[in-house]
Amino acid sequence: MSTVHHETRMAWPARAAALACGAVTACALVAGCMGSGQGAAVGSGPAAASAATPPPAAIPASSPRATVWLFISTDCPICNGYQPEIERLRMRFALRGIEFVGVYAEVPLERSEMEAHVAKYGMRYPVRIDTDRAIQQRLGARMVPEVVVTAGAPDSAGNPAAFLYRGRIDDQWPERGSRRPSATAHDLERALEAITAGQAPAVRTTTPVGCVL
Amino acid sequence: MILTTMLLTLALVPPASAGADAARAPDAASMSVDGWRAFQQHCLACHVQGGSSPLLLDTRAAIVRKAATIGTVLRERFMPPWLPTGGGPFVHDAITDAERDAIAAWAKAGASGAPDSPVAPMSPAFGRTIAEGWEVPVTGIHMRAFVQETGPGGSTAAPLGPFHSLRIERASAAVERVMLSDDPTGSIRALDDRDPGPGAHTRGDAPGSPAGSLAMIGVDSTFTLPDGWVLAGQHANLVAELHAVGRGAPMPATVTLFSGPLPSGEHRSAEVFAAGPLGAILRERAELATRTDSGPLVCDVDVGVIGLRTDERCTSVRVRAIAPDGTERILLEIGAYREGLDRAYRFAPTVPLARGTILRIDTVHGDEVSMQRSQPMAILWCARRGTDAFAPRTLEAVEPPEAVPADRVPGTTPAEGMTWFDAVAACNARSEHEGLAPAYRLEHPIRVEGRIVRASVTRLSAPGWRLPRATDLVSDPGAPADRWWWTDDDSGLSGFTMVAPQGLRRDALPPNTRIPGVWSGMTRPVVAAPAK
Repeated sequence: MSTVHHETRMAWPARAAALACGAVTACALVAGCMGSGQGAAVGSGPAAASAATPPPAAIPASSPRATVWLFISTDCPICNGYQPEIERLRMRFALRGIEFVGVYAEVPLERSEMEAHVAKYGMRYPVRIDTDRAIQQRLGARMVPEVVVTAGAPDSAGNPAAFLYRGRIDDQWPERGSRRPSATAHDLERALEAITAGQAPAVRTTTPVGCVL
Repeated sequence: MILTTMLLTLALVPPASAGADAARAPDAASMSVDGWRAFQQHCLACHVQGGSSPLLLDTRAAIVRKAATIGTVLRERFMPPWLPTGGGPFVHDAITDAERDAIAAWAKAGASGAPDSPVAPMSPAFGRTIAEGWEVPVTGIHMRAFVQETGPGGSTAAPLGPFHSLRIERASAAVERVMLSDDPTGSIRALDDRDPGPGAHTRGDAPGSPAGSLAMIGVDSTFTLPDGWVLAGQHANLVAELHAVGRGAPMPATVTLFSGPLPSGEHRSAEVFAAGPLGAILRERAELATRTDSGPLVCDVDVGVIGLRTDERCTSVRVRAIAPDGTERILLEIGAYREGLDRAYRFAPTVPLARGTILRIDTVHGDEVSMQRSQPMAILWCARRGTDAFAPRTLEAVEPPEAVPADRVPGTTPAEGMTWFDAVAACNARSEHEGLAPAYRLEHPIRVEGRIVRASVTRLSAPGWRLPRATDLVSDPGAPADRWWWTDDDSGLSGFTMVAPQGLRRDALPPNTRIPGVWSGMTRPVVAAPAK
């Protein structure tokens, strides 16, 4: 395994940590976990990126422009509650070059259980079971629900440079067990709006709330 | 920048508790605890089909998939849910640290002993079903009241009857909380009839809300009175107000209600005291906080159970009892409030409160909108001290009072079914009869069957007759007992409240309500102080 290949298989926080050292490493990891605010106001140039957040990837001009990786679970109530919102976003952005992929990240899971879940919640995007947790580890997901947006088609996700946004769908769940009647910050939607306009999202990392992987 | 630095600093230094937990290796105590047994005792009741949690952990596979989350929520003390940080003493089967560790380790190790097939519901499917036909929408927060008619002309379901404990099973965990009440005036029934679809939309402590006078069942799925206590539940129309949330797919709202056995031998009769915005003597809002003071208790009581209802963005709650001598006692304090984990809290031993005590509810909210909309309510299930007789009070049992002679109250007649608007009109008529400037301006009245059911009412600074305040009634030793009154506080906060001065309950009723037992003479108008 070459060094380059090894790096491309690392999640971006891990890669950032590998590139840093000492206190800088800790700060980088913390900033990556702090959520909104920490990754805000990132410009399009590499110099504007924080130590933890990799530079925004180049967004292809043609479809697929980006892939939304949805880390979900059959059991997580917060995940399930978000399915109507995911479908709304999918409908809005499907024709604008955004692909959605569902990743069942809590395993083991039988295929029949996945199919029943897809049918119950009317999910209309492709899904897969992350049996060996490879997708989770490659993209660095820590929770369900958590979204990771990468530039281009799904098969480009192995490249950490493809990273565009990670974190929550919106702020309806400020913390575990606390819920707003409706969201006030639609982070994923804002990110996709920027991406479909050919720009890096202004807020590129937020803190997801849900079940721990 | 300062905030960012602080956050970074805080994040770099693990919290003491988290560090302590992380560093705490399984010790001898936790090693000796059976994880499966502790899971059954502290977790399984909610995480099975029919339980209160939307997360099913009723198979070995489901537990293994959630092992990381189970460990996290136990370590963070988010689960098992227990919100009080003060008040009580409450009945609470507290989990030990050893049990937390044992469950986490057991789940991570494969959850041996847990069944491969879902655990069966807690009891066979019989009992009283409520809210059949309502499907909770996929998103949003919903409150609906369902009336189960049990009187003549209603369904064939038997009355609820006196009960000591109640338990519900849910068809889905979309239903978070159930408030059980009765509907003596038929107002919920009427609301249901006008409201399209199953049930009637309600919203908290507002006219038309049943406000939970029989029981409140939340995350615990059970409501139990203190040992030997019984609450009369033989009401004409049982109302179940459901608080439900969309879970991403349409889900049935049906709940099944079970009544536990009555205690044998002597028992004490429980009553309800609802402290909330309607009937309050003080409401204040400042910054993101609210304060609500109830009217005073009219007799000495023992408090057996306290329930709480507020809104989604309430972040902390404190309920205090303030005795007439100023002595304060915290009944319930929740430092980090979460509505989805609401339940009723049972005291052990019961808490004595003296006549004249008021309930003060302080809440803090996450945002301005939530604070402005807040209608916090504390509900106390009490038993009068020195009274053991089990004599459920019904409106039919209320004797008509000695009415003010009609010639003293021109414009009114001593007939039943007086609305609040009628009571206001009676005050003005009496003022006019006695040559006093009226205390109200009543405009655009609309009458139905001789009663005013709608009007525009303005309170004036005039010396005429006006309705009593709730506090006037409960502090008046001459006020007849066990009767219902229309009241009107200066702030207007209890303008639509009916108060039985010797009864614990406060009812939130629309001002056009016509309730049997309310006679013109019961308005008992008082002369306002001359305007300064």
